[in-house]
This record gives sequence, C-alpha cells and structure tokens, in this order.
Amino acid sequence: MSSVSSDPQGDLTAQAYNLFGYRFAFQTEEPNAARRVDTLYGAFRDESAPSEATYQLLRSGPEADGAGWSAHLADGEIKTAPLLQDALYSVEVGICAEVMENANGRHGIHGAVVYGPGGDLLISGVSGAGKTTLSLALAARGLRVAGDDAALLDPETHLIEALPRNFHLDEHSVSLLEDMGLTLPEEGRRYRFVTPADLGVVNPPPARIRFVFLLEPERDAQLSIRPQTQAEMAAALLMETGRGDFTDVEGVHALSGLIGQADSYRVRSGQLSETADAIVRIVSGRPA
Amino acid sequence: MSTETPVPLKRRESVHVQNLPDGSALLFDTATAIAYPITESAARIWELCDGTRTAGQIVDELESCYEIDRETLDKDTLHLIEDLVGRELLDEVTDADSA
Repeated sequence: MSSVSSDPQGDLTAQAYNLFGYRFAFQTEEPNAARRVDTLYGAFRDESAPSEATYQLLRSGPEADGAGWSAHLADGEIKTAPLLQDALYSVEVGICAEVMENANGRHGIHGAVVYGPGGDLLISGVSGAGKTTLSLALAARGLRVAGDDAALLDPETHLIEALPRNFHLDEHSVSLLEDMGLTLPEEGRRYRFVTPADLGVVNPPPARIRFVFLLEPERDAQLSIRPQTQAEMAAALLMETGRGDFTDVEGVHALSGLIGQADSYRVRSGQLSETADAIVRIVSGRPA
Repeated sequence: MSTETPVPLKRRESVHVQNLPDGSALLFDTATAIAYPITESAARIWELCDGTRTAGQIVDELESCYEIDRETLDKDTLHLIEDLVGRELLDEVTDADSA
C-alpha cells in the first residue's frame, strides 16, 4: 500500500508514520513539504494502524502578509510563519517533542549520534554548542550521521537510536561545511531542511556508543580536548545538557550504562576543520 | 574536624552511588537530583563511610592501599570528607543518632 494518499476533502497529501511507537499523520497541500518530511521519516512510513495524531501544514495567506503558512500541531496549537521552512520546522519540533515524551520505556537523551570507524559517537552539549555543525563536519570527513540532536536510550541494552531531525543550519554553518567539501542537496538547502537521508543515512541501526564528546558552548582559538572520567561525563550530561529523563535512580543507572562503555572527552572547539580532524583521529584509534 | 575526631561517618540514605567501569563513581542525591562525580580513591572512602568508622579509622584502612605518607593521606581524606559533609551527602554520627 502506498503511504501517500489524497485527502478526499481537498488537495491534501497525507502520509502516515510510526516513529518509535508514535503513530502520526502528516498532511499538506505543498508537495515540496511532503517530500521533505518523507525524506526525514520515510523509513518509518506505516499505515497499518490508525494514527493517534495529525499534523498539518497549510497555506494561510500570502507570504507578503507575514503569515504565509500555518503549522497545525497535534495538541491543537497553530503556529504561523511567513516562510514554508519555518512552518515545516515547527511541525518537526512538535513531532520530536511527542516522540521524546512517549518513548515507551526508553530515555530521551540530548546529543548527536554518529557512526565512526572505531565505534559509534555521542556528541552532546547544550543547544547552540555546535553539535549539528560538528556532526556534519564529521560527515564531510566520511563519518555517517544518524541524528544531530536527540536520541532514545534503551535502559537494558544501552543501545541508542537517533531520532531523525532536520539539521537546522544557518548560512554561516552551511558555508563552513561546503568549504569542507560537504554537498548539501538543493531542495534541503532551499527549505533549510536537510536530513540524515540526504547524506545517505537511511533507517540507521541502533548505535553502541564507544566515544562520548561533550561540547562546551564556548569556543577558543585553541582547540582543547580533555579526557574525562566516566563519572565526570555522566554528571556533566546530567547537570549541563538538560536532564530530560534522567531525574531518578533508574535514569542515572541507564545513563551510566551508556557512559560506562565509552571513552569520554570534553571539547572546547577551535576551528571547525581542526576540531573535526582531531575527533576523527581519536575515533580512528590514532590520537595525535 | 580532624582525623582525631572520634565521630563515625555515615552515607546519607538519599544518596545513590553508581560505580563506573573506569573506577570512578557518581553520587546521585535523590533528595536534590544533583549528581557529583568522584574519583576511584574517593569512591573507596565513600564505601568506608558506613557509620562505624571515624575519619582516622578510614585513613588507617587506606594506608595499606596507597603508597602515600600519612600526613598527605590525612589531609586529602579530611578534605574530601568535609566536602561531602558540606554538601549534605555524608553525616557525622552523633551519640543522639546512635541512641
């Protein structure tokens, strides 16, 4: 069965997904938006059961009026935005929040998940620390990025699964990454909506983390990468990056299980390419 | 406080200890939801704070594990214990507690 169908009430394209147990439908009259969302969640298309929530992206007026698009979220909230990309981002943020809240016993964790040659990486840090840009810089060095912001941790196996997110990039980051040789798809660039699938990572398998990097929000001219004890890293993730699910002993135990299988480093970024190269050396087993 | 103080030290019940494979440990205070990382040697001291040993007795036990002079061991152990007491993770057991 096709996962894309027409709404008999109008011209809406409807797509249904099951993202880690959260069943939702996405409806829009804008084919480009439908395609972008399907690029992000395409590996999770599923129409085998009714959706529990519906998200809509609709044209609400001329862009010149400042309210060109409206994002109708599952909780009834409507967000308007002059640009399609901003409304699309609102939908994606809403879906992410719901998945993290309904994680079926798994713990939401804040960080990018990257597959590396010597084991998988978790790159954590507060919003704005540079997780996305660094992850994509690693992609430019040949590593594979499963997600740049959020993941779900299985408390039993300590495997984590990246939540597919739109890489939210500003023009400066795009320029830096292109200078490093990363090619971003035209449609993704146009709508500021680049996904892991755009970089060749479709339906990524669960990751067993071997390296944890905590990005400090400050940057320096001089790159600094300092090894941390596993307890230091666990405490830092608990106390510095938004504790999310990790507010009780069970959560601390799950997080410790994840950290306990990894080498941990605190990073104060220098130049992007220098930082990426240093991390590649560490995860390739050839530190400087 | 000194290591001569004859007061046993006891871990607070609200504090969960999570030992990590590299030897470090995480103290998680369920009363405040604050996490504190400690080193391998600090984790050993934490385990010895079971309500029966004084600071001096803890140093006695550590002396056989570390090749450090007694004065340094006294100073480092006391510094850690005072820090843990100050953070309300560790209690000094008074006569009233044991009565």
